[in-house]
Amino acid sequence: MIQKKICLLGASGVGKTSLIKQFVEGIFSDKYLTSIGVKIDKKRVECQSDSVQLMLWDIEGIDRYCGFQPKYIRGAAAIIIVVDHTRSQSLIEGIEIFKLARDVSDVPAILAINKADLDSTWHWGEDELAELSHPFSHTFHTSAKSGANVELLFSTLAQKLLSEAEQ
Amino acid sequence: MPTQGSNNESVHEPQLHELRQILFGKNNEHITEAIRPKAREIVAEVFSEALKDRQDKDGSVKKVMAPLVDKSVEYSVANRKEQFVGYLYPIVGSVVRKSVTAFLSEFIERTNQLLENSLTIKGLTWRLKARQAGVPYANYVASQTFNYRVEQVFLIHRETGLLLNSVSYNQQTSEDADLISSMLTAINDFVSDSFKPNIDGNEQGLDIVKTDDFTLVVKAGPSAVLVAAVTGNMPQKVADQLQLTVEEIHNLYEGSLGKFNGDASPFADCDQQLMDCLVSELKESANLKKSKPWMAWAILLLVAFGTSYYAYKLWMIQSYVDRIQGINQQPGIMLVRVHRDGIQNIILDVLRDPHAQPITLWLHENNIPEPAVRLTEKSYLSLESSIIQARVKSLLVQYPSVTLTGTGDTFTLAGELSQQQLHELKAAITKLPGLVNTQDVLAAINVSDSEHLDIDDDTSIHTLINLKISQINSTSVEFASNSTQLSPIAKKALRLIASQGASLLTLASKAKLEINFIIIGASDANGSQSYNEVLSIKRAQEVKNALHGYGMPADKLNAIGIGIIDVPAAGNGARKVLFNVITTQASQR
Repeated sequence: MIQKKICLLGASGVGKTSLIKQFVEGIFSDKYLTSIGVKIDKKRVECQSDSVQLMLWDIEGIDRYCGFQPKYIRGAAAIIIVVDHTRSQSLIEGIEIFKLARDVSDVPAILAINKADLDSTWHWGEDELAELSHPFSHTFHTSAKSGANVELLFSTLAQKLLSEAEQ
Repeated sequence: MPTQGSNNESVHEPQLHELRQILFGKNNEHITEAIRPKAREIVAEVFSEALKDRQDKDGSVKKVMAPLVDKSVEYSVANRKEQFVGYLYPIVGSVVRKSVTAFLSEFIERTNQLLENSLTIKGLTWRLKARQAGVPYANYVASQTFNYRVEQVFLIHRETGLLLNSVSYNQQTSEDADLISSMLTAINDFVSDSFKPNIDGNEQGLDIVKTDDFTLVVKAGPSAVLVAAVTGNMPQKVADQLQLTVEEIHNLYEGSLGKFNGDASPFADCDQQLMDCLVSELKESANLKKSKPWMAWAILLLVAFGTSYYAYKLWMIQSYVDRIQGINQQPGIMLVRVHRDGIQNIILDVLRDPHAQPITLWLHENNIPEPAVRLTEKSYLSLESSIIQARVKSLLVQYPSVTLTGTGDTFTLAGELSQQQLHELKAAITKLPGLVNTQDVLAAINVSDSEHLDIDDDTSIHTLINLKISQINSTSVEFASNSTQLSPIAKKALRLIASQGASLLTLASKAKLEINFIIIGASDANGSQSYNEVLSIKRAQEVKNALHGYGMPADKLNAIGIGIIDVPAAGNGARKVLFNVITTQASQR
């Protein structure tokens, strides 16, 4: 079994914490998140050849007024940028956060477009979205509420990390 | 010139190849042929060395040998069991002894610890205090017993915050060590981000975190961080030990740390280094107190004492039960059941003849404590000879002049009694159950006043008269076929009847009774009826004459013949003379 550190980033209220809750086992209560800006959970994902233990760093919502804590991303094997497709702003912020993160780390990034159970209300066409998500290695439309694609997101990630490690 | 050389080689290669084939054979068979006879010697020369070299090189010999050794051992065990047992025998005993000793001493130690923790006043107080303080009891005990103790040590990859290895004093708390180590890293990051770098430009980092119960000591190296959770007052030497260990780990695992990609397995071997950090120091008082585990011994002794006491009682009661079985041999006592009830009581059910030995007495004689026996006794009549004797003896209390002689089935009474006493004794003895030969038993008793009956009592006289009548009535005299001759036996019987008849007449006159003897002759069915009638009268007459001859008055004797008694089953029995005594009140006449 190998372990990997994964960071979840995104604007406030896009559902990072909910997304993890769908998926993990944890021992720390949510209040850690607000006190030091990060909450950590773990999840073991079984793949065909081996299993991967993901240490999921849920990093507090970042907005344009708030500084970015680059140290939290250090050592991460991948980052997941979470955006909310009911709010256009969250995508802009997500892209900004992604750019900031790229300055300190060049690990694979995944775009999670969350709240897929609600209707999309942002004004991005499919082409524009494809253009924006180009730098990401994968894009998923997820729903923390219904659980849609959550499992898929993490298992795809685990598989990817595992194949990297085997090389 | 290397290029030149290589060119030459390529030119000459086909020729060389041909030469080789000539010298060595097409498939080197000339060489192998030449070596084969010596192969064994050559290999034997270097065999051991080659094995060792290969083992040192890549350890593959071990892997190849292991299955072979397994198979050989399996074969030996299956086919040469005896020899194998012989090889192992000398060591098995000591191995078993050693493990049993170890188990026992550990068991005693643990039991004592448990008892001390739960039964002593100190243990209870600590439990109470631990509850008040809201900490687990084990932690409280540790804080009371140890000056300090390193509970857990984490080795964390510095960059990713992933756990590389961890050891703990007790194995329970290590389940979430990976989450804890990530969180510690996050907190460390938080601290270093929140405060400005120090004067040297280095990042701020956690060194020691203190809580009420715990001290977290963090020693960071370039690639890995060592964290120890310590309870109690941590001395500086713990931090020093951590520093040494983190340096040692960096030396040993420099390569693995640099290449770390999430696979913690290379660090599984650093347990030993981490264990070195799990140091502790007992408090002085706790150290002194480490005496013999007397409490466990006390309990053990108590249990042993209790068990042996129980076993002793059980053995005692069982031996009583076994002894009680013997009561069945006692005459007049029949054992229905006897069994043990717990270790205190015996349940005993018996049937007992009133003349047999009392049970309690028997128990006393056999040294069986009476209170232990719960006795249920029911009466029955025994026909054993000794009990019959006992019955007779109890009768004889009224007749001091009579003694009992003989044992077992054959016993007789001897002594002297008056006629009346004899009659009473006889009547009483006849009523006793189980006694068949009354006549023989009484035969040796002399009658002191047989001549003159001095009986005044009316009822006694009547009783006596009835007795004699029934005796005479039950007598008969038999004849041979078609004969009226009296046999010697018949004459003897008639003499007895005559003497009884005489005394009966005497008694009858006292009781003012008229007595008449009817002598009834009979015959079998052989011959004509009229002949037989005559024959039967003749027989009666013959008896009458004989009785008269023995002194009976003729006027009291009436001879009659009733002819044939036609009872086929009677056979010879029908040729006889019967007697019947008729009494009438003399005054009525």
